[in-house]
Amino acid sequence: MITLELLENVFEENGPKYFEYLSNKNRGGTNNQKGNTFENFFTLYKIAEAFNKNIDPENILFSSQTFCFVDDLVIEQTKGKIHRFYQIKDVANLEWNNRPGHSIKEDFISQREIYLSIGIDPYLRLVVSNKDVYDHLISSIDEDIRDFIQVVNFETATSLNNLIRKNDSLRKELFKMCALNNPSADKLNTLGAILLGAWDSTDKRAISLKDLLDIGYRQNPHYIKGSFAKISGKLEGIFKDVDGFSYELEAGFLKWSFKNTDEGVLQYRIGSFEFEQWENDVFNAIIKTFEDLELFLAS
Amino acid sequence: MARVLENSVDEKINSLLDKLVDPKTKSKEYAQVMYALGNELGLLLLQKIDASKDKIALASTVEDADFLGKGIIDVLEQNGKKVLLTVFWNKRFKPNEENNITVAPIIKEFHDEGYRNVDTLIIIKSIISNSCVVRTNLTKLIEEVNSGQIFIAAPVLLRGAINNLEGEFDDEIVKRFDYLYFAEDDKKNKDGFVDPGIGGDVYKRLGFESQNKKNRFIPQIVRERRYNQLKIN
Repeated sequence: MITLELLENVFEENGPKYFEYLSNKNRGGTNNQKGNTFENFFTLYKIAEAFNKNIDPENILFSSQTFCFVDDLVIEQTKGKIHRFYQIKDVANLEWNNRPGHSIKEDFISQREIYLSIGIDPYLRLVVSNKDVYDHLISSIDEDIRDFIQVVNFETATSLNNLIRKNDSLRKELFKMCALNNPSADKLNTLGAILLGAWDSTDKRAISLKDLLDIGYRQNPHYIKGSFAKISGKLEGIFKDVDGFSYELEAGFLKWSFKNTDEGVLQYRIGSFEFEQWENDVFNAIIKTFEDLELFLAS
Repeated sequence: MARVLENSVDEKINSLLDKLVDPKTKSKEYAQVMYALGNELGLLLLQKIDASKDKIALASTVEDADFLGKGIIDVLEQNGKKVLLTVFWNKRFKPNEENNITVAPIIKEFHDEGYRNVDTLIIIKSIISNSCVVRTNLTKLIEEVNSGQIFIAAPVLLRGAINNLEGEFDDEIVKRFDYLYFAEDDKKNKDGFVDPGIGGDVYKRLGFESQNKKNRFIPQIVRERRYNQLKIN
């Protein structure tokens, strides 16, 4: 986070002026941040991407609307040594020099200058939803910023369901993050909504991936890929005795089918408290046929 | 504005809708009323489905299968259509109260053999409100089922539900949608149920008590169709 002292160190007598500008920018940005915003959709994508890259979940922090020039999303990693800054715009038109004095270009330059002054070379990205805007920004980028700013096109949508259908980048990351092989749209949508809900339930200030996953794990079902891949011998025995019933363990979840008529995914992650309770209910029942077992499969 | 009835609603259908709303209607009678409304929707569907298209996939939620669903299927099958049933057990929940996103993943599903290759797809629901369950089940079936026309049928829907639903799909898919319903309401009560809608919480009105109990229910129509299918195979 940028302080007045840091601004004065870099911009000298103009430091307080920049501080006031950042204060106003930060106040405006924190309004209307819940729900289906483009910023949240992009953050969801970066959260899933971080999970799939196996980054230590305690060592990656997500923040939004921080006190920075480039402030829509900040991802901090390796105990502050890597900083990724994203300005995220869902607009039909955008210019690098949109507001003289406080243009996007100047914000990026100031952000870089401040972080270079403390020995960090920041990763800077401008994310836009509109492909025409993206093409225009690419073709009009000035020589002096071309080397350290990249423009990213990330498609948006009116709802999460639509977004997952239309945005291949997000869909691929959720696909990888999902515990199930070849998950259907309802599973991806649930996983996405859970991550988005987890992010929205925080104050969006230095939230670790671990914090977000812990919130997600409280939902049933959550479909977050896990590693618990065994069920008890007793449960295996029950399943084995049910004619026509088969199952697979997929990254922590139990996917089952009965002949060619019924199928499903048990909503509780194997090894979770809820799974143990469910297993206990099964053990307390007399199960000889699929009709005995199916009472438990959707509850 | 109060309830708006469709032109197809006659005295009989209106009286059935009133029975759903009446809190004195007990679960058994409520289920029978849903079945009768299913028959009426079935008759409407018969007028709309291309006469040369005989193979139909009908998808229902578990709570509607034996009542509304069976009501529609009986009429269609009595009139020479082959109806392949899909039943979904959805778990509807909000992962977080703050962003108001509702999801309804499919926990369990039953399918009649051959449901993927049909001429017509029908999705039914006792009421369409925020359209989350219908959207989920429809998305799943659009991925799997190779059909032309898609009918979305419910006795009652909330004003705006069609727009919400259509906002979730591409125009190419939306143009295949056709809606059948009898009444459109424009408000919800303090508990979040459409008012008058279908008289409150359909799980409770049908005697399921809760979502969890509803998901332990195995419809009779599923038992029968599964039995017949396994016998053939």
